Amino acid sequence: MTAETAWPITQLQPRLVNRFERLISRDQLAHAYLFSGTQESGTTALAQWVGLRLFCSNVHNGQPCGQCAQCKQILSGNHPDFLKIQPTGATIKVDDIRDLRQEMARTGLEQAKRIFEIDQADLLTPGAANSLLKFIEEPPGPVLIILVTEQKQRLLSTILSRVQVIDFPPAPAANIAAQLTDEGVAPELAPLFSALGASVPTARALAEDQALSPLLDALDQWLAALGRHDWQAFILVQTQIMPLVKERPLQTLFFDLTIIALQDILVAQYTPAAPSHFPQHQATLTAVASQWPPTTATLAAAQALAAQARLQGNVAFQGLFERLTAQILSSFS
Amino acid sequence: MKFTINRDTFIKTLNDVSRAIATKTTIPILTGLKLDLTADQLTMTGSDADISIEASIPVTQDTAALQIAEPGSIVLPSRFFTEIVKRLPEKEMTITVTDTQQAVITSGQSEFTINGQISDEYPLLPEIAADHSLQLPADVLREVIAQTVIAVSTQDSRPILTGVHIVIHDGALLAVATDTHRLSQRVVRLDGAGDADYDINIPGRSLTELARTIPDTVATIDVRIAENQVLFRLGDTAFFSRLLEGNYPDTQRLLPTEHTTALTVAADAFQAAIERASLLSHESRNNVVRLVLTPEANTAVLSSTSPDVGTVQEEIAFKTLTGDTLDISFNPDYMKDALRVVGPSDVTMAFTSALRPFTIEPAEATSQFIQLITPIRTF
Repeated sequence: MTAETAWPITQLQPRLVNRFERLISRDQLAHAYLFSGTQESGTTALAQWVGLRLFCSNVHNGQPCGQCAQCKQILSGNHPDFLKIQPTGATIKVDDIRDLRQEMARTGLEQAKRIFEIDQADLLTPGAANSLLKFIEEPPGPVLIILVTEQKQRLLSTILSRVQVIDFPPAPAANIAAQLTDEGVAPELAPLFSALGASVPTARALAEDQALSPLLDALDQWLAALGRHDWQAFILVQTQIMPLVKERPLQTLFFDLTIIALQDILVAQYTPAAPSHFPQHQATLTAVASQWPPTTATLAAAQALAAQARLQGNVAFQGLFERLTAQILSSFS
Repeated sequence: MKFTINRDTFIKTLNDVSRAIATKTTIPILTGLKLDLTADQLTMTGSDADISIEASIPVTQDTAALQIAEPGSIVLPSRFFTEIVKRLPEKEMTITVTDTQQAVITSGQSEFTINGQISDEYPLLPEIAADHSLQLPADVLREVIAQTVIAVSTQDSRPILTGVHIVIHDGALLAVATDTHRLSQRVVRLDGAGDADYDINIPGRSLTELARTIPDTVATIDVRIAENQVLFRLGDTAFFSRLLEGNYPDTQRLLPTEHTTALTVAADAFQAAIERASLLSHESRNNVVRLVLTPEANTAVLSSTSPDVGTVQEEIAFKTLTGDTLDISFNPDYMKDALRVVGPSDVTMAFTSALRPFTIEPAEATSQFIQLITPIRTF
């Protein structure tokens, strides 16, 4: 295996890998970055690659070897100087950051430089984010801080102004399709997966259990009813949708799916030939697009986004979804 | 890897190493114990990233009765392994590691098989060359640690203050710690330090742990300093600690050079008086005791008030009292800590004014130990 094919990230994001390789070989790396993009687009994979590239004792052609002790430690999550902070609950709290700050003040165990990766940095509570500010701005020693997020807009502006933001282009659907086929999941879902953000792990787990299609079918029924201007859609929330989305991750996923579908409808009204994210439910989407006035499609998408923000603020799913249904239906009269 | 060893000797070394093993850590492999067997010794390593302890049992040690069949290394889950080893039936035990990274532990009729991890992923401790090593008597090091760690900050808003600042320069070692309310500094002569020149910050917690680890049997400790770590060699045990990043604030200019009032007392008697006064001060909102010094009348009065409970007043018996009249208030807990580490001797306190920090030194000023306490404004 040559080094070029060894790391999937070099194929997924070749330009970003080249850029970081240049920065590292010229020793121009900044001390804090924000990797913004979906998990599928390779944010955490690039963070790992940067760690490997910095610590590998046998770099060849600008690529880490993956075989030396340092690489193995990173790959198994055991490197004492490459620490990853992941949310333990719904948020990353001040206590989690306290340990991190103590670590930042220490010298490395094996390496002079230390790397800290904070996954899902959008989940930092305001208190935790504020307690990090001083360390991101002026770390006590030679460190590299990588914040990873799928929702950049939810980070404090004071954090954003202290890091270099690297925006990841979304992974091409073809890449994801190939990956899905490898995992035994229907490749038709690829366009959807490339559009889904944070809910991809949930969706993937569902797809592997064949549990994603009931969700899509429920969404299809609900949209079809809305297309017919039928108040039955309101009932469907209780009868069809709620039994499927009992848990929080599923609710988030269903909202993501709804928003993508409503955006598809909006797009279809202006460019009917545009590719849809739901190849299997194309007919319903096209029908709804022709049955709705453009104002309704715009309103539906806007209200769904507002409702999603409320869902993150812990408002109950059923109430939000019924409100959304009522808003869409009322707009016809 | 395969060896047989006396269980008591093994447990003793295991206990030393276990001090460093993390109970909760973000690095999974650090919950394990590393065993490394070479042709002539068995080395055990435990680490929680901050401190790492490495202890060896040489094949030449009689009590160990170490028989090495085949060298090798493995990382075993320390909690289970320790429990198992402690409960084995016989005096001797044998550990065999299979190709699938499993350890078979046998002793008498009992046999355990536990899953281990490959030792390649365990952090490598630095090899610090011996050419710049410093020799320190164990009791001096213990004393220096005890005298300075009391003033280490427990708040992590300024991480550098959670450590003890150590400067080795001109054949002397200076250790200083401060939490901005008090300061403690000790200087010791280092014979044979030569032109060694270091400036490092060691986390206070590491030093506390080190003081506990130093066995009574060790007389001299070999200190070696590298870029990222400091190593203390205690006989067959090596104690590594990471350092703190950053520059320690300049503490030398904090120490006052002159004073207007000086009080010399017996440390233990004064400490007892402080403890009595603090019974009431602990009940009040701001934990303050008041010391009124009147050299003309030859009195020193310690008092404390708690609005809820009552008041205490005590005339202090002192050796000498000179200078101006002074009325000063301070936190009795800081004073208690300060007197405790001075030990049973006379101490001299030197004051400049009611709002300036005052110094506490042993009366025989040759010991190079000085502490500073910041008073509290009460008016």
